[in-house]
Amino acid sequence: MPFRTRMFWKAKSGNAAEEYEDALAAEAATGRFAVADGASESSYSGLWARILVEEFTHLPAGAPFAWTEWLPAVQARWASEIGERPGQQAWFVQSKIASGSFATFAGLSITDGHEKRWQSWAVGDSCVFQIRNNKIYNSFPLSRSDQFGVKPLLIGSRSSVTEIDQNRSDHISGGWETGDQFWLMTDALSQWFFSRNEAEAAPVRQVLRILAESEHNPDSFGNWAQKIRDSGDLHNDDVTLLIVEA
Amino acid sequence: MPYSAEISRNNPACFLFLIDRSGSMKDPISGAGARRKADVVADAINRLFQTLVLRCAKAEGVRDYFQVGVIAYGKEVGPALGGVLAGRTTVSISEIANNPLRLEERMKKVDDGVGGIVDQKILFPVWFEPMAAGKTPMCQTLSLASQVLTEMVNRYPWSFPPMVINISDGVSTDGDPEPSAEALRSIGTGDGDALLFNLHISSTPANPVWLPDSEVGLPDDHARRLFRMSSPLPTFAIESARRDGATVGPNARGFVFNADLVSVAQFLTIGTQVDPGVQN
Repeated sequence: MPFRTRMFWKAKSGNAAEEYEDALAAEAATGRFAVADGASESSYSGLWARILVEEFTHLPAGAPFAWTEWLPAVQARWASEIGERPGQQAWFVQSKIASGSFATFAGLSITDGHEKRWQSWAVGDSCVFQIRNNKIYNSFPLSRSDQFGVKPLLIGSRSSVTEIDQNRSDHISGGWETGDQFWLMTDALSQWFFSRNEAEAAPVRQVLRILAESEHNPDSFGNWAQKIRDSGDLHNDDVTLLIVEA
Repeated sequence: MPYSAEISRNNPACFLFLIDRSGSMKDPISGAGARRKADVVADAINRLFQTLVLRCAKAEGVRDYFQVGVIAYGKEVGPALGGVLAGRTTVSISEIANNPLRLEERMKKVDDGVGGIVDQKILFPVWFEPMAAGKTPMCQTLSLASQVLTEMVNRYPWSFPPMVINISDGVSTDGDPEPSAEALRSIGTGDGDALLFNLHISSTPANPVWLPDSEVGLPDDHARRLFRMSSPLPTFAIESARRDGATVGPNARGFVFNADLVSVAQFLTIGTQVDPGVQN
């Protein structure tokens, strides 16, 4: 069955839209979806985040996933895109490239065969939420607002694939029902979402109201994100939300 | 809550380094074979500048999240950056990035990704040169630092408070620096008072006294004075020190006595561990 997807994002306040370093991608036909958050201290991390989500969603439907099989080619694509940039580079650009780019990542694969299954793979604090009856039914890889720190685990464009596979990555699988939704978010919105849920403030309904408004006004999501940033409830960071209706 | 202002291009954080270049800085530091204190400090400052630049370097260039200044004191007291930055008390981090005095090539041991170690050639930019001559006019230096800070807080009244890191191996030779230090610490932004951290480096092999939370037990008057001159560590610095593995009490001050080679770099890291955009 085709999955309906909706995408919302807003760059960190004070940054231009082209400085947005999260990324999101969806392939409804293969049931693959992903978000990533490029670490702001590394260079080309927006590019790295984009490559990660694109490459993940381009995998065939339901194909087995292994970091050790998948990541080397993805890292190679990063290296080749960086290498194609023209001109003599300043010392700090050379240093940044040598140490690589970094991102958190959450990828989701949904299959709709004889069994309705979903699987997710994540590194760091980008999150996948399974939403049922307007409530959080499942969350991965985190489950509480106090689990977010300043140093999340990251996937590096030059890091050891084995190390990521063994020490940084997390995996989950489960079943889904018609009517479920999957919400993928990077850290700032995920943390807000957990904390509103812990306060029993029905965050799913609150977001759905904003999304209903955005059917008529494309600025609704961005305006809302800015409003909750200004009130201090949402960390000032890039904000990303990818909704999959199963 | 103080010390929580977000560091951004509109509200940059300011680091001011006060570096002792008195004659005794040519003596070797404890714990580092025959390396001169002046060389160790210059290396640490250059390495720190490199780290600060890299924290602000993005694909499109260097974002000005930081303002940086260096005042050296010894035979003279004054701004100590060279080349096109000579004479400037503070410069933006992008000016630092684009204007090293020179790029040295050094070898660094790196992980080869398959369990081994290989030598990799890296570029080591140099901004600050080691020097050692004259006395230790700390009062005059702190007064000049106060002037620089006053200009900074007038320019950025809501920024993260300025951080001043004073690195010295000796006793002030132009009077009691405590009042000047107190005046400096009273300069602030809407986000809190300026922070003054003192690093005393040693030639004699003695155990460093690391971020003490009381002057009781410090070895002499000089150490106790430096303790009183130093700001209590705000939460971000306590957390940074603890992440680094240090045991730090809640009343700890930004002060290290008898620092050895390792302590210099560690102390600089802790004192500057504020991240653009993640102070909430």
